[in-house]
Amino acid sequence: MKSRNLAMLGIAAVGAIVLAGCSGAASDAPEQDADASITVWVDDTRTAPAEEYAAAHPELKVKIEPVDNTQGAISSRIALATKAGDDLPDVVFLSTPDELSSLLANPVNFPLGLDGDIDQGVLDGFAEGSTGACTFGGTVYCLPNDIAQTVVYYNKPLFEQFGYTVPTTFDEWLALGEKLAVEHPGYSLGTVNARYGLDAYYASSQCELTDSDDPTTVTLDPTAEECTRVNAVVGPLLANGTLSTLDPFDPAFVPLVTDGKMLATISPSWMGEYGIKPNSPTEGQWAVALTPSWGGTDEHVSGAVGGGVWVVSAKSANQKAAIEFATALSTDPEIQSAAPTYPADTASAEKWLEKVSADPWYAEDPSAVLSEAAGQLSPTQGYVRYNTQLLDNFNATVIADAGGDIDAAWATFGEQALAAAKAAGYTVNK
Amino acid sequence: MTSVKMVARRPRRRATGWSFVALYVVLLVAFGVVPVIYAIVTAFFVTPVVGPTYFSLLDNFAAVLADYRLPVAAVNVAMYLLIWLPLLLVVVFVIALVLDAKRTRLGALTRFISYVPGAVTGSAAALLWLFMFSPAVSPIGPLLAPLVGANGIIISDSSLPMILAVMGVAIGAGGWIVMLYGALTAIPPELIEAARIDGANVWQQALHIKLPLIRSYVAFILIVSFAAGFQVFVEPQVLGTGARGQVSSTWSVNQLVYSYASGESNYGRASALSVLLLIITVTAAVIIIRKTKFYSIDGRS
Repeated sequence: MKSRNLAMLGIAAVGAIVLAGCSGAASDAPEQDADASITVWVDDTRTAPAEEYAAAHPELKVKIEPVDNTQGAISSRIALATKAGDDLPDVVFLSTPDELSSLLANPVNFPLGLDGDIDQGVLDGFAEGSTGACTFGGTVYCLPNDIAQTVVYYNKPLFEQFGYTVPTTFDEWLALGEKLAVEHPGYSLGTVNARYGLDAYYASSQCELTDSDDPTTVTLDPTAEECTRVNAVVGPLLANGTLSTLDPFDPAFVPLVTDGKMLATISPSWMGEYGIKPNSPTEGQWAVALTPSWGGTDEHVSGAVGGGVWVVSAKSANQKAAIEFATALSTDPEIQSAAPTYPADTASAEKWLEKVSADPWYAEDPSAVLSEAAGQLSPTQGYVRYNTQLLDNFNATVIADAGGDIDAAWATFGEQALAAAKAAGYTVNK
Repeated sequence: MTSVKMVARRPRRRATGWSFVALYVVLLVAFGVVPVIYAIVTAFFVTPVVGPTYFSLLDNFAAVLADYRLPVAAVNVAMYLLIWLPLLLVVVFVIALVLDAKRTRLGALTRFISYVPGAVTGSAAALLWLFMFSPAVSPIGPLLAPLVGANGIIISDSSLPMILAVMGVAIGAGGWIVMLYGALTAIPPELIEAARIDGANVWQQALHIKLPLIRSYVAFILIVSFAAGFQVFVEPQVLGTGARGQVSSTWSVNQLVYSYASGESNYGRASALSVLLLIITVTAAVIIIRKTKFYSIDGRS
């Protein structure tokens, strides 16, 4: 009796699930309604500007919803809502833009291709290369909000005191680190933990780990010289302690900044405002320089460590309003010049830089360097579904090894990176 | 057969019995049975990156078992269980025995004190311990000095089994101590007296008289702790977000399940691995129940 009841229950449950699965399949091109209200998901930082814009444009009927933006949270919420047949947002801000690659895949297929519906002038207005990662199969699926181009932040008075010059090549960077460890032990050249290593050092060398131009293929070649030459710099500096294995916000690293023990760091353009200024607030100390160049050339390339994007839903019932809103938030100079991070839109960036160049915290006006670095983004960085694994694997191999045998650690990392890409459903090109 | 007749004669008693468990059954079906069935069904559907979803008996399971992260996570969890479970059992048994052997007026207070750390559990406990194990801010900073690595931190992939074991004992032991103490006080005093007259010392009494009598309680602790420990998730997840860049996001097997479901939107693989986890924990529970004669009354077979 009991077991038969259970079996019946099981069959009923399976039936209900199968039915739910069938009804959940929504059509991809919903009927457009120019009067339909739109829902926008934003993170904390983007909430106030989004609400202000919505209030100033009541005709768009925008509803702003601040959501949890921790890694993977938004894409999994959208995936679950898609599966359950619940309402989806019309516009989403992704602060971890790699999630775009998950949103583009089954079972979600969320982003709307924007090329046809957006003014080409808007796309051309973004910093060179900044829409590259948004492009899959020749279609642009996101609008870059801000870019996190890497630069060298350096403590100018400390360089003068030590009699050092700011490196312009990575050979000089390595030499600086070796000299620093001997002459001034305890001083630091920043950290290479996770993305601060991969997205700054390796990306600026154009090491191909995430170069993806469509949702199922990626170019990944950890054995290329563009990757291994970075090991020759990072390995010795990890071993002598001038490069830290810690996250720059780790309570064990921050005291180095507070105590003035960080001579320089290769960091994204938001690091000054968010990471260094709060812990080293003295005016007139910090200046910026271009990320050093690799391979004996004077071609400077910047990695991107973060940078948010706006995504419009292909399932929106009012795509016109959704695109209008996403475009405004990413390119309106009024909104963007007040933003805390470097705007991807060039016209907005110029206005943003006026504010920064007047900031007495900097030892010299950083605007020329920041703007030049913004146009030198590495073309090898793409948004992929295995980014979290990549960072985990890098920390478990190269960072855990801490300069012991970086070539062996990198080889292990390379194998894991290939496995991660394949497990995520990519065909890997070399 | 006799029981059937008795039930038939007393339908009211049967209804009363059902009413006691009705709420539990509803909750069990809603949050236990249905999700498990859903997971089993989902485990057989594969969602490729592009193209339609298809049915396959093995694809998801094969992909999960071949995942390079699974052996790493399995070893992490195994290390944790190997340290934690014996430590927990020894601590719980020893403290309960001491409380039982020396019944003073302070007994109630001691039991209360040992129970208090258990009041802070889950993510709150993980946050608390994140501070405890951050040398820069820890109130017990100097004591931690021998554990600090060359980079000035303690929490890392490799130190996590030990940290979780310490956390697990501190949080979990109190409740079990109170339970085991209760079981020990239920042992008839004449048994212990007889053992003492026969010349058994305190140690022998504990090992040969008390332990076998509370065997089923120990089994219960083992089953519950094994199932919880095997599926450890919240603690490494919180410690990982706190100790940025030091703990893999797939440190434990259950975190790998979460990673499939949330980061990769691959519900088929997430379900396949969950089903495998369920099979392992249920098998372990059955073995423990059989070996310890769990359902025999008061440990007497």
